[in-house]
Amino acid sequence: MSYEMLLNEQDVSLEITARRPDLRIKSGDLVHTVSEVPSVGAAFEVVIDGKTHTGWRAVVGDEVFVRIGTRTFVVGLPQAQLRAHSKGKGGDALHADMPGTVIALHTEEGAEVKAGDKLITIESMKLQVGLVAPRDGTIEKIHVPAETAFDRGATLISFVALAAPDAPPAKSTGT
Amino acid sequence: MTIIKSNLSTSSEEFRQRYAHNKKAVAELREMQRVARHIRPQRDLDRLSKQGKMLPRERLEKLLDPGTPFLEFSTLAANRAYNGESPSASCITGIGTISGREVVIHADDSSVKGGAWYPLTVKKIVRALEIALENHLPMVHLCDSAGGQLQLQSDLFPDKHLAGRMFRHQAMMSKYGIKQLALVFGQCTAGGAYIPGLCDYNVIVRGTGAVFLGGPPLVKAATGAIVTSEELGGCDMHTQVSGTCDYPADNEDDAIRIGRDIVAQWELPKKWSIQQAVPEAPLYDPDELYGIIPDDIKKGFEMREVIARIVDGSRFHEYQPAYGTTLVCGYAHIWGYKIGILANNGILFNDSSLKAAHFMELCNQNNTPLLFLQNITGFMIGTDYERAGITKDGAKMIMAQVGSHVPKFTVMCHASFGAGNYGMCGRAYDGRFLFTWPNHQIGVMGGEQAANTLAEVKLNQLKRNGQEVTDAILNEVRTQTLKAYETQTSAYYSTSELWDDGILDPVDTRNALGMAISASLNAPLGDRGYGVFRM
Amino acid sequence: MLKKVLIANRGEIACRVIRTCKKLGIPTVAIYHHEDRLAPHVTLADTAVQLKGDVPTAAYLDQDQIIAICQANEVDGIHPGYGFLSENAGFVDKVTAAGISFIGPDAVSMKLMGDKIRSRDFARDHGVPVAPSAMQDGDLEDFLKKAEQVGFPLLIKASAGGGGKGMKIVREASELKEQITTAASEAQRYFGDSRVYAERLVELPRHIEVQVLGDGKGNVVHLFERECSLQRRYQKIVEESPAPNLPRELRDRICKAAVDLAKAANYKNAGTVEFILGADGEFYFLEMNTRLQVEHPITEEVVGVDLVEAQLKVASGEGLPFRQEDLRQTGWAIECRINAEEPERDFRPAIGRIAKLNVPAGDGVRFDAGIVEGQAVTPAFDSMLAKLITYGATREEAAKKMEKALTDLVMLGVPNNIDYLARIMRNKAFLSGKLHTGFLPQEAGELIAPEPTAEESIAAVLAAAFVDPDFRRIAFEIPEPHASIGFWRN
Repeated sequence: MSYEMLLNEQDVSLEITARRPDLRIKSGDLVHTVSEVPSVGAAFEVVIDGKTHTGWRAVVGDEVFVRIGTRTFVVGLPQAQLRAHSKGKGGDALHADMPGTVIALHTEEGAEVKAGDKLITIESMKLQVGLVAPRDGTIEKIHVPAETAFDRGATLISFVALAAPDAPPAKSTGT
Repeated sequence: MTIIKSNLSTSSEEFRQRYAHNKKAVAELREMQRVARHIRPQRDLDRLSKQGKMLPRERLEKLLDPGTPFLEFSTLAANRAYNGESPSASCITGIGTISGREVVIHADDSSVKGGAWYPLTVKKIVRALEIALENHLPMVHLCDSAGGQLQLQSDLFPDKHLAGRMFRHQAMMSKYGIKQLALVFGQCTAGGAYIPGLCDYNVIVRGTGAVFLGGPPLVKAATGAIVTSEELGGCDMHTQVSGTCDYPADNEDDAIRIGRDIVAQWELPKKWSIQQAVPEAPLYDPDELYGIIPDDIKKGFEMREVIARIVDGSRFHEYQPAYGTTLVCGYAHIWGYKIGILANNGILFNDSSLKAAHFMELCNQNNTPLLFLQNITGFMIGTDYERAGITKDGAKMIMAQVGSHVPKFTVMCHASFGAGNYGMCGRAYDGRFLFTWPNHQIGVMGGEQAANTLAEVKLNQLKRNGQEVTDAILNEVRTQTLKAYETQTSAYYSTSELWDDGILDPVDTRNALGMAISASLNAPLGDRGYGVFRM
Repeated sequence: MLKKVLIANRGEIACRVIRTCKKLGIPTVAIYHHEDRLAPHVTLADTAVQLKGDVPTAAYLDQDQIIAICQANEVDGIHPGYGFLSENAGFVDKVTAAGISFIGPDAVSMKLMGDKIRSRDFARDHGVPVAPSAMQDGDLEDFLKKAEQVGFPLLIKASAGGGGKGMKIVREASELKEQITTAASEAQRYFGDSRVYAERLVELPRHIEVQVLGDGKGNVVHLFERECSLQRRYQKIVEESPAPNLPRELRDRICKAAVDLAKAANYKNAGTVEFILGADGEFYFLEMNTRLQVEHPITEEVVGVDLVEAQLKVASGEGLPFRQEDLRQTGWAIECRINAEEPERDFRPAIGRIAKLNVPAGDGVRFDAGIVEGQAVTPAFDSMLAKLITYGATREEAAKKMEKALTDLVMLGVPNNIDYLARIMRNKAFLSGKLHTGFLPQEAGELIAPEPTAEESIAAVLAAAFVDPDFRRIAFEIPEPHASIGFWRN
């Protein structure tokens, strides 16, 4: 098992090769002898191959901001790495888990949405629930308009289908 | 404890000869293991890669904590069975750590006939479950099996220790609070469905994972209905509808990640407190073991030289050094754990049997696990010894051994013949682990003794019936017996039949025992019986 | 003196004003929107009143609500800070009508100086140099002709604009018409006023401004100049006082022009007169800001005057406690604006939560901030979060102190320009003092962060990994003897 991270949006993989007498960690082609000096608060001290590196760090969600000297790194922990690689996954439609009524729509057809954006509020059994986008994508169609009842399993909102998952990602040309 | 003084001459002709012999033997072992682990028909590899599946060993390496050991069991199981069609008995079992927890792992090998279970596969999985159960180790199953080999059903289905035993053990483990996780990578059909079904946690991979009592072909045959595997028992059905599976995974990597996270939630084990010292490598190089082990089953060797190359710092506290000298007894440490060693340095006599019984009682009193290093051709026979009660003394040894409440470990270092096997904690005696060395031979007696005994029986039989006795007839009996013994006494036959937990390269013995002892500390010690009887 | 002051602002400037009020014993009232409920100005003030309204910026611009809060809290002075309502003459009228002192100029000077065209005319009429220019007063063809007469290169600007929005550079007569049309439509879009004017573009211009203070009774002083040429996207990020490489005689002329203008306008309270200075030593009036500037602290450092205190005294009718001859400029001060932005992405504004804030301290280091650890930076407000000011005997010393202070200033969780500012402080061209408003774009290549070394990268990755419980588990919590045996397969 290797430990996968993102360093300023690039994949980095750490592999522990030994723990005794010293922690040895492989990254790329190099194996480093590593230890940490226990520290209080956000300041840290990491010793790599005998050299001490000090700086500051702060965890924000699944990212760690690390500042060494006057350079700031954003390091994504494995969850962030996973998130970066799973963009666009998730179903192509939002289905109803139970019968109910659409109370409000928070998006429109053709809108670009991000995973977790609230798309629709439904009411069922006196309870209002917001449904969120399962993935990043574009809204293809809203199947049930506001103040309309639907049955269990009904498709509420569908997404524009994604290209085949194994198609190579479009090359960014940059600006 | 004192450092064992080695009298080994590494420059002697004997050492060099034995060294070359054993090096060659170990190279053969390694080559057989390599083939069993990695050589598969291209067709099977292509099929797996088309399904987007990893090989079982790739899954295993990703599942285990990085840079940690994996003690694999019975790598050459079934090597003498089914025309070699079931390498490693079509599955991988062993002990490693996941998220810092020691676990037993069982992984189906779908690169061999779709992971179908042979009778020896069942035996190997049952043994892995038994290890988990006896040692209170959590277990992780990597499921990907087409189910039992239907042609061999009578050898794998009905009896007490066959397939049903897997699920019995699973249920018992859960009852005792020993956690189990199944990662469903492929199909779990029929009985196989109960592996994830009886696990406390399970994860299923969308698209390839499936769990059902009857697969699509059986459903079609029985009811005429045509269903897809995914509809019948796929990831979304089981995680959303039936609740048979707990966690959906997008792919195999995802399943492994979820699996590691599940194990990370488990409480850390409360091991019983064995006496411990700071681990120390042996003073003498374990590589010299190759020059100690004889190249002939009839040749004896000094077991203290072996102990000196296994235990910490080659330090040994020898018990009763002057009494019953054909059995070496004493305390040592392996990877820091205190153990009591019983090692054969010759035939078991009355005094050595009594010494064994007495020392085992001391170890029990001291909560010190027992390590048996077997090189035993038997208890001494003959009038004098029978008159001295050799059977009675052997019985004491067996009684003390069986009644021990401390964990027992056995290494078959060379010969294991006759009742000596019983006294020295052979397979039937519920040692926690039993490993063999490649040179090991096992049997009710030695091949030559058996050939001569059977020739003698034949001679008497012919004489009784008034028939002609010729050398040709007697030689035929001798040759056939020798041939059968040669096959069946070999370590490879032994391991093929799962009479052990695997053949070890002798230099690996220390690591294997370290992990085995560590594993054994998870199960609480039972109650002590009597005090120490001075024999 | 005023009895109670309400600060109609937020962030660092609200904190800054409260600080002086506390020093003078004047009780303060802070206003805040729900989004700012954890901001330090809320806790620093004696009283804090939450604004009604969903849109945060709109709440801080709600004149009637703010005046009502003043009345309910017996406030007799409003300090507007900068931005928001600080240059809104209509607000000044309303405040005055409510019997409250507006701590700033009167509405008349504000109206005069707030209009680019009127203020230019006023400056020219009072002998302050203005760049050759042409106004649009109706007919486009006529304007084109006049613009051509000014001579190229030309700068087209919105009459009502600021901040560089809708600004166009025209180098050829052939481009003129098209660019003016575009500029006019952009001006309409940004400012609701399509009027534009054309002026001679000064090449390699420096932005020099002069701090002035007037008591409204004839005493008008300047507090010397500030160099504000370091700008990205037409917004200042590093300012200093004095201006480097500025001959004393020229500096005096510029300062005198500023005072002349303020006197002519009978200017009351604090203001800033901005000039463009060409490489040829010619300078032109640009505009006057009728408020306290963001960069006022560097003047305070080199002149030794609390500008907010001066503002309060003028507003309360006490007048200025000093005259021109009392004022000296000593030492050197530099200010860096700490912004939530990504320099490597064209200074795109950034958001996030300030997970860690470590504030530098020491002699000659001043940190004017309106943030605390744990605070969220949202898109609702300006991206400027704080200002770091250092003071030294020389420019070299101030810059060195600034570099150290920027190294010590840790703000993690929100992308920011601290590291970029530190690179400016190390930049050779900056240290030589050869500044102009195109400096940062010109030095952009030099100011890019060098690629981290493999050593730095692995240190960062490990520092991050070591805080992750999952990593710690596999690194430090493997049981024995597994950990000691390490990777091993039998």
